[in-house]
Amino acid sequence: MATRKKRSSKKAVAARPPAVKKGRPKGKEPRKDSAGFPDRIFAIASPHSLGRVSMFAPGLTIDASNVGAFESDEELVWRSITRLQEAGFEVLQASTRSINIAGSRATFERAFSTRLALVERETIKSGGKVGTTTCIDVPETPLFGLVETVSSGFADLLEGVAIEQPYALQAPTAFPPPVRYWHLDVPADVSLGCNADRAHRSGVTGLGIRIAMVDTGQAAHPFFTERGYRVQPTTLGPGTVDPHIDSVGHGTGESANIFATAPDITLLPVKCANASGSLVNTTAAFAAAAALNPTVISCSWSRNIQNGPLDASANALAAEVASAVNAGIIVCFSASNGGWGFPAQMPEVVAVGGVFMDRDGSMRASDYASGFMSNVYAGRRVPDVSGLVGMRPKAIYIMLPLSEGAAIDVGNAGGAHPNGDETPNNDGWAAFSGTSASCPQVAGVCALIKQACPRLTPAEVKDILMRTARDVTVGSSSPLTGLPGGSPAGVGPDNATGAGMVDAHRAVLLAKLRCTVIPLTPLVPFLPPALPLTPLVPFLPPRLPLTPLVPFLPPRLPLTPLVPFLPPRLPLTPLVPFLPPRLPFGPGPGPGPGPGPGPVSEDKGMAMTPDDVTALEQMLLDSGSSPLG
Amino acid sequence: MSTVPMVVARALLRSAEGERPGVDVPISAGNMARLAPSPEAVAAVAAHFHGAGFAILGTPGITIGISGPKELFERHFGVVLAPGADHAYTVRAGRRSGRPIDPTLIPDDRLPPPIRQAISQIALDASASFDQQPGIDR
Repeated sequence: MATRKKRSSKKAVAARPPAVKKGRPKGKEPRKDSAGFPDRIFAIASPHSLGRVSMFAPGLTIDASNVGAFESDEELVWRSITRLQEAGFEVLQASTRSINIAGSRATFERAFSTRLALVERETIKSGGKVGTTTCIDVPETPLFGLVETVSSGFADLLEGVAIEQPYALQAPTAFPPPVRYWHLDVPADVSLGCNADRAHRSGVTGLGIRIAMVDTGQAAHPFFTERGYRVQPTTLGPGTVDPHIDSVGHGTGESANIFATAPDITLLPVKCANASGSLVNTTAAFAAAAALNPTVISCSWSRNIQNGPLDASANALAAEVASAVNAGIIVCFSASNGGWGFPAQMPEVVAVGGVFMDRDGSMRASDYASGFMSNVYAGRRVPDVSGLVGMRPKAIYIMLPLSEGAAIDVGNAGGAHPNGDETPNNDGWAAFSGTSASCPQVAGVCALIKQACPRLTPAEVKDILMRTARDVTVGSSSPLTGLPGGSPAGVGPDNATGAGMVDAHRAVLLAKLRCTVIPLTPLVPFLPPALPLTPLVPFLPPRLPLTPLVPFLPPRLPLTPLVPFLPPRLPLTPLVPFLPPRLPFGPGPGPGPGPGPGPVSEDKGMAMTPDDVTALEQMLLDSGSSPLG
Repeated sequence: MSTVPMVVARALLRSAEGERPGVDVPISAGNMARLAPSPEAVAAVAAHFHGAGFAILGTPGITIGISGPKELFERHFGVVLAPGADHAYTVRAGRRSGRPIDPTLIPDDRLPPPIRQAISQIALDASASFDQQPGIDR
C-alpha cells in the first residue's frame, strides 16, 4: 500500500468520553425486539480512507505497514458523525479511522437501505463450553457482518459499516494477571504467609486427606488442572443443578486457598448455590458433605446471629455440625466479615478470622474480618485462629481463579484498587478475600496436621492450631453491629485474631511430636521358638558333578604385584584415641532408679520419652517462627 | 426440568429421653450421645414424611432432611410459605401472632401425636451469606 496520507493533528475525535468497562449486570440479557434483534446494535463505520482502498475490501490484510492508508480526513469524519446522528444513531466514539455507533435494526435498515438477518454461529462460551451465539449479518455482502453503503445516502461519506460480532471469552490461563497493587498470589504467597512451605518440604502436603468444601460449586480452571490438583466431581446439594458450573466463582476461587496450604489433599466440592448464585439449603448441603466422611469440612459462609436463642434453622444446622464433629470431622467456618458469624460461634467449630500481611511481612488484624465474644455461647471467642484476609473497603487482596465471566469476575473488575481488582471481567481471575479465604487456608493446615498425626481429634487439632499460631498484636477487627470499633489486637490471644495467624510449619511439628511413638515395653517378653527351624523343602545337592564350561587353567607364571607389598610399620596408632560413649548411649550399669531405655541401634538412635516430648513441645512453642523474619 | 418450587426443611428430633436439642439441652459435640434419638423414633418420623410424599434427604439421624413442593408443605403442615431473601422460604406469621416469631420454624401441631412427640423442631433453611465481601454478603 503505497499511498501516503496527511496525518491529522488531532489523533482522536471523541464524541463522548471513552467507555469505561462496566460489569455485566448479573442475569441480564440485552432487550430484544419481536424478531429477536437487540434494541441496540453496535457497529463500526469507516469513513472513506485517504488511501482510496476500503478497509472492508475482501482479501485485505491490515497490519502496521499499511494501516496509515486507512486514515480518513478529519473533516470527513466530522461530517460523517453529524450525518449519522441525524439518521438516529448514537455515536459512541470516533477516531480518524472509524466511528463507533449504535442504533436499532430499523435505524440501520433505513439509513443504509439494507436488510439485517440473524445468523447462529458457533462460539466458545463461559467455562470453555462450545455453544452458538446469535449474530447479525447482511447476507448479500461479501464479508460477514458488513453493511455496504453504496446504495444509501452515506455513499459519499462511508466506505462501509461493520456490525460488531460477539467475541469469544478468553479462556483463562494458569497464570494470574499482573496487577500493580500489593496482593497475594496462590499458591506461593498464601503458602508463605501461612508458613506452609516448610511443612511441605518436610513431606507433609495433605496427601491422603479429603476436604469437603460446601460452596457455590467448582468449575474447571487451568490453575487446578495444570498443577494436577485432586478435585473430585461436585456433589449437588438440594436445589442445585449443573455440577460443572460455578456461576458465582466463590467456591472455585476460595478452594485455591486450600491447595495453597495443602496441595496434595483431595477436594470434595459440595454445591449449595442455585442457578442465580444464591446460597440455598446450606444445612442439607452440609449434611451431604458430612455424609462423604471427609477429614475436614470447610465452609466460607455464615449467618449473622448476634444474640440467642438460636432459631429453629440454626438449631438444625448446629445439630448437623455437632454430629459431624462428634464423628471426628474437623469443621472450619469463617468468622464473617462484619457479622456475628454463625456457626463459627459454636465451640466445637474452628472459627477462622483474618490477618493482613503487608509487603514487608508485617502482620496486623484485618479490619474486614469479624472478631467478637459470642452472646450465644458464654465465654466463646470468635475467631480461634486467623488466616490471610485483605483490608477494607473490599479486601481485594488474593488473586484467585474462577470461571471467566463469573459474578465475582465481573463484580470486582473495572475499578482501580482498592475498589476494583484491575483485571478484566472475563479473564477467569479476580482478587478477593474475606474470611471466605482464610477459612479454607486453615482447613488446609488442618489437613497437614491430620496427615502428620492421624489420631488427633478435632479438639486436639484446634488446640494445635491455637498453640502454634503467631501472635498478632496490632490492628483491629471489623466493626460490628453493637461493636462499632471492632476488637483491638494485643499481646496474647484476643478477640481480633484469636490466637493469631496460623503457622502451618509449627502446627505440623507439634502434631508430629504429639504423635511421637513412645517405645512400648511388651507385656509378654519375646521368646524364641523352642524347636529348631526346619526348612520346608530340604536342600538336595545336585546329583551330577558340575562341569565348568571353560576348564580352569592355572597361570603359568607366578603373579607379580605391580607395586610391591610393604608391611606396615607397627604399631598402628589411631589419630584420636577411642573412648567408649558416655551415657545416655547405653544402659545404666550399676545403681540407679532403674534400667535405662536399653541399647541403641546405630541407625535409629534413642526413642523419646514422654518427658522429652513435653520438653520439646515447650521449646517449639517458646520459639518464634516466621517465614518472613 | 421441573419448575415447581421445591422446599427443603429439617426435622430436629427429640432425644431418646424426650429432651429437645437446642431448647432443653445445648447442642454440642459433647452432648450428641445424650441427644441421640431412639432408632424407633428416627424410623417412625422418616416413614411418616416419606408416606406423606416428601423426599428424605440423606441418612436420617438427629435431624431428618425432607423436601417437597411448596404446596405439599403448606397442605401437610397447614402453613403458608412466603419466599424470603435469597430464595429461602419463610413461614408467614399469621398463625402465631402474639408470640416471638421465628420465620424458619414450621409448626408441628397438625402432625400425628406420636410423630409430634418425637420431634423437637421442624425448620426451614435460612439463607446464608458468603464470607467474601459485604457487597455480596449483606
